[in-house]
Amino acid sequence: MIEDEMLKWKFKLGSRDALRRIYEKYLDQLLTLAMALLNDAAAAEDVVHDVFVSFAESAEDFKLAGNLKSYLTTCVFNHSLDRIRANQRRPSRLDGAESISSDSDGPAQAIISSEQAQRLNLAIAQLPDEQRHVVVLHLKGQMKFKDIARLQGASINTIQGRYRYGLDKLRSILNSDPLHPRRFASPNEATGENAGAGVEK
Amino acid sequence: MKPADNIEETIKKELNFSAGAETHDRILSDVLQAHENSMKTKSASTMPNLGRQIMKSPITKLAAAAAIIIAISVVINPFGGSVSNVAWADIAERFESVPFFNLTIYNSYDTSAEAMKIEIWKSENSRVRAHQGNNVIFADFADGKEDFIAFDRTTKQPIDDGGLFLIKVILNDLCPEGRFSLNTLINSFPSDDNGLTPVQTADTAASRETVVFAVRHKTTPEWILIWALRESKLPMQVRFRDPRSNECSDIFFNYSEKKDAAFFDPNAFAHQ
Repeated sequence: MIEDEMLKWKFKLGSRDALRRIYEKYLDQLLTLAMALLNDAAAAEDVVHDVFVSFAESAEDFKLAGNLKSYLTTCVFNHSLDRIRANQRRPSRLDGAESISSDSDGPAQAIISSEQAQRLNLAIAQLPDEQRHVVVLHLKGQMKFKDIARLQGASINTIQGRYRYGLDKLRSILNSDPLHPRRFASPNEATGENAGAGVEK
Repeated sequence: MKPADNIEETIKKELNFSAGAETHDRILSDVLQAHENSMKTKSASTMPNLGRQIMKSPITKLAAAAAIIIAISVVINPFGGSVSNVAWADIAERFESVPFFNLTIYNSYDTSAEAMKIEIWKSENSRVRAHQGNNVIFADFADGKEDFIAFDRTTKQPIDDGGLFLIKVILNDLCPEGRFSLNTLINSFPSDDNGLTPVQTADTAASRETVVFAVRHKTTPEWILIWALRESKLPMQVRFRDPRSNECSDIFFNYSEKKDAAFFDPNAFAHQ
């Protein structure tokens, strides 16, 4: 936290090193967020590129208030939505690994991930947009429900409902995946109450 | 039945993507280029008279940028008014609670000249390492003691620390009685009757996040300005200025660079 305060201050003063440190610190987190929202390696790379370039150009006007990570997360989210709207297509590409990297077998992969990450991402891509956004922003953007509610102009109850339904749907998708080595239980099942209930087949 | 996995933890831990080296470098190159272009545009439009000579030196770039902030944020009468709701005591107390820090000090007598640079690192256990030119000085302020030992940075041979007067003065001022404090440093400056006062600043994005304090010398035109973050109360910069000689000293504070124990060990340095 203190480091981010310093980075914001130095960036505001025009420090190239501060910008580089911010980039190194948040690149992969933002790339993961964009991938989870778009499930398209090229699009995710473009979004993160555009966010960082805009950020770099904003040094003079950059406002120091607020959390740096939340700011960048919101930027990636908004850019991702803009891209989805511009392309007028759902971001879910369910054609497997080639959506992750156009050059996944080559020595210089554009975006690197594990098979498990790709499988999780494909499952997330099958969620309805509203549920996917909440799940991704909360779990990968580490945003609080109240902040997501503010961002999306919805009540906290609505956001928490979307999150709950999103997780239920994810469990269902992943549990029905024959390649998935794990079995995800519902909250009730995990705590030993009413075992088996809530796991959709 | 095997234990059920937690889907939230799984997504948090296992859903990760990282940029390949080529992607990383390509985006970074564009980002740094955009930043450079932006700063050039800004320089051309907002500080045509600041002096290209200042910007020639990478070391003085930061100080020059700080000067712009001063120009933007401090009103015509820099010592008038009082708008801050953060007291100096809060700032001083906050600084004393910081476990480790790094100070970079630039001292110059003319804005066109290369500034003298001193760097100081303080560890969590009150050990200090400082660099000035080709000299490295180690100090141990634990238990209230002051043990100084200086080395030539190239030969790694011990040297007489008599020539390192400024560093020793700064360190002694920063660390009275084994406790790191800004008060002694500031109080070593003979102030006028107003003492240390908050400065009224123009309403800018930077000033909303920062508080500025000023001290004027009781008999000379010298002054000190201190910038601190309003929310975290961390001091960010101290500027000393003597308009008579154009002497200017800037101290920049960094709280993110934690060094390991060996960095503060003179024996480890001598045997590298």
